[in-house]
Amino acid sequence: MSDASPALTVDDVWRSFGGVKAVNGCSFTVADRSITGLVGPNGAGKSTMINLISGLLKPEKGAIHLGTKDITGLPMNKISTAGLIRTFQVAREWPKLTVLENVLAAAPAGQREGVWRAVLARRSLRRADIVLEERARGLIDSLRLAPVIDMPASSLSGGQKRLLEFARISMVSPRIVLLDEPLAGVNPVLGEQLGLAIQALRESGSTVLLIEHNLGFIERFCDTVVVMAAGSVIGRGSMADLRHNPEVVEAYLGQA
Amino acid sequence: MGQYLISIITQAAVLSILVMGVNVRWGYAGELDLGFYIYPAIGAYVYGVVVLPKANPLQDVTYVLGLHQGFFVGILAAAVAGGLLSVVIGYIALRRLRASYFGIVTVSFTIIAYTFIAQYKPLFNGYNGLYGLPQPFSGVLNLSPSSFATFFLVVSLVFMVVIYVVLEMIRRSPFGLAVRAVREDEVASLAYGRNPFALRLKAYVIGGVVGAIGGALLINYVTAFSPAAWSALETFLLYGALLVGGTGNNIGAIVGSSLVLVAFVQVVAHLGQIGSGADAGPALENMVIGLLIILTLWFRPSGLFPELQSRYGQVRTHGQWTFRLGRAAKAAPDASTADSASIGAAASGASTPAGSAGGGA
Amino acid sequence: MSALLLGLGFGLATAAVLAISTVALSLQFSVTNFPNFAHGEMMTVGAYAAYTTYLTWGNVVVAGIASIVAGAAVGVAMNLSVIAPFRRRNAAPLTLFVLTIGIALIVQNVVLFHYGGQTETLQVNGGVPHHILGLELTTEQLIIIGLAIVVMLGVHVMLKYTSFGRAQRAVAESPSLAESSGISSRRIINLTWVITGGLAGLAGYALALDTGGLTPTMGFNFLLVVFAAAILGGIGQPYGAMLGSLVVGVAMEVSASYIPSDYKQVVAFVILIAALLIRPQGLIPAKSLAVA
Repeated sequence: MSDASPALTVDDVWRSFGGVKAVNGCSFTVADRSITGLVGPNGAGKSTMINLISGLLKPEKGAIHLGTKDITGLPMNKISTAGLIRTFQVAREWPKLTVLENVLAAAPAGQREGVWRAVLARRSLRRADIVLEERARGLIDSLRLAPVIDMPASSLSGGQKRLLEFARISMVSPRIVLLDEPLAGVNPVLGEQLGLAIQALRESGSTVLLIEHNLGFIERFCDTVVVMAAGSVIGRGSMADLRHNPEVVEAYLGQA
Repeated sequence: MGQYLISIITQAAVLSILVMGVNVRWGYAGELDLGFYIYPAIGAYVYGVVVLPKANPLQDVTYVLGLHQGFFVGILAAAVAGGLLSVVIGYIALRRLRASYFGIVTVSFTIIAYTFIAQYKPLFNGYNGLYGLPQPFSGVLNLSPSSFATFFLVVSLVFMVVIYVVLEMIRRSPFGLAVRAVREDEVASLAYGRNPFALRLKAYVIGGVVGAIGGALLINYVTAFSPAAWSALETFLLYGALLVGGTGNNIGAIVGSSLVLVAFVQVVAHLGQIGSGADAGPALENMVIGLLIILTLWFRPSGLFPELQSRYGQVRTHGQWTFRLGRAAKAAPDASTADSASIGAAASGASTPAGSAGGGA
Repeated sequence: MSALLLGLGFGLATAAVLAISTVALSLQFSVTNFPNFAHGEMMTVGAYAAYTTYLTWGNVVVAGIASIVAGAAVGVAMNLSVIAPFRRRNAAPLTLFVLTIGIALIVQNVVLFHYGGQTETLQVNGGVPHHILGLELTTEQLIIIGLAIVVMLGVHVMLKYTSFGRAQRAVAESPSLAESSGISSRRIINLTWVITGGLAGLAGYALALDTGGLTPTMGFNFLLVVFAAAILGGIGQPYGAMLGSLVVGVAMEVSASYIPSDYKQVVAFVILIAALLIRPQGLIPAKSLAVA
């Protein structure tokens, strides 16, 4: 791992819902270009944490930094353009758009999405669009989604939708990706493919923060793991370390 | 017979423009604007007061402006008025409102506007409205009424085609894709850095400009315009046309208007007097349009030319952003299987009303 | 000040008509989860049924019953022939909303076809004013207010004390939970349509009495005012509907004392837009519109 500033810094973040503290005093960092796991028993506040980081929710207290940029409380789309992409527990594709359109629509808007440009685009801008489309097709091929490239995304299987998510993420080349239980409902073979896709993301320069219940997968693919329970971090390190952490073991007592 | 055909084809062309305006909002962006007709109305009124000479109070006619300008200035003024009104109403209505709420609020705005226009005579001459419009280009061309009808038919068709081309370019552009994505899943768009409000508002404004241009052409065709010509109900008829023709699809908009708003209305009119009273004919037409809406949603929720099956809209070719009218797609090797597969998928997607007409839900 | 009192009197009558209709809409929305754009047409049909009955038999009560029966019939027909089949297909709420637009087109134009577009008048007691509590109210208005109070009480009793009311509230809260408790939500919904239709029909009759006239578009024109009251009060929440109706009705009529009365509806819409922007969940929040 590099000594560069952490890709993500969560600093004493708090958030409650109607009196119930979902996240209380949670702090951790995610090292640049790492694949970091975020685990914990049900109700630990992991999903809430992801929602807070990505801007779907606003923290009540605390600060969140993407690299050196303060993203606390920013709206979701601004955090996204700052370089943070997240997935959802249930894959959120754009159902009636084709697979190709899904991947193209994920690419950063940049200057391409103006109305006037739609009508008056000069040849150089059109060339940019063609380059983008080639890149999209390349990604779709590499994820073996080429057979369904022109089908509406809603007709894809659950596993294919997960792969589509990776294609979309790759179009952005984000600074950091938050994956919210990417293995949910996915068979082991596809799980293997997803693990390789995660590594490919890191190869291309992104940092990955991965929530998963499948501890075997976490152990295989993550450099380091952060453990949450009852809204805050109770341990951090490699899976081997954590297995000997009494607090962590107790939190997981009774869990797989 | 010739004159009759010219007349209804002109009507079809102009109404197609209106329905294409509805399509930008409903088909592209998933905005259920039930008060759409305010935009053609404003377009018609603004064109009128720009093109007419100053109001003559001696004849008990009052309206604002009265600039006595030519055709193109009038059209431009109408477009600008439609755009400005869209910005105002869209900015308020799109802030937080969704689907049905949005529909209710937009129709409320339209009724408020209708009340003001009808009641406040100095604006657009109240209930009597504007009439006696000068024939466009009358200084330059001296045409007899029948040749003018043909001339105006050509003008309308040109406008329709140009608007179609521009709207198609928009639909296939990155902007168009972003708008359609927002319609599909707003949160996913947010997660990928888009601003749904800004995108929806831009689509809304485009719809308003198109609607207003259509209204300006409409007032030319009828040479008059008053509150009697527009009510909240008119918007529903436009939606009926779009629904039948194919939502999301500009070809569908044109086909839908021609079928539902023109051909079908003419058929009913020619069936002779069925009921008593002057209201019987229109009542029957509207009844059947209502029935058409229900039947279409049941049997063919995507309409006659559904969005995904449009041969002209498929994102398939290399260099897709370049507009190609009707060129066969330069297909990828396994496109044939993709074709039949996608049509199959689209058909199964189309059989659930939830999937298509509920696209904004 | 007397202008204000006059407005208040009219306002109470309008609020009364509104209340009956809005409560009906809220009841229906609470179990079906989409706004019914044909709600106004049930009112129109009720009004015309009452009108025809009154012309034939000259009895206000019989006319009232006719309006209830007619409204209920339209509601049931609407539900069984169109809405229920689409719901069985899992149609999205937005699709159902668009469907009701189609239904509204049909019903409104059936009335137009049958009766013609001219305004019919309905006079029951020649508008003789009574003085009550410093307000001046005609016989018609008193009848309307009385009806509204009866309806409010009736709905309240029904919701709180009858088994149907309890089941209805259960279905409104959570259809799946209600089903697993042994409640047939289908039956409850069908019955709700009967009640909603009947109340809407009655509201139509009340509207005709209040304004003295009937046109085929009367229900539709009133519908948006009903939406304003429903959304202000909290759509799907019958008690909110009562409160919302009071506010909108009184606001409309009192404002008519100060601005030209043609702009009355505008007041309702301004309230509607303001309500949606400032407090979309309504004064008494129940559920937000399910439509995304």
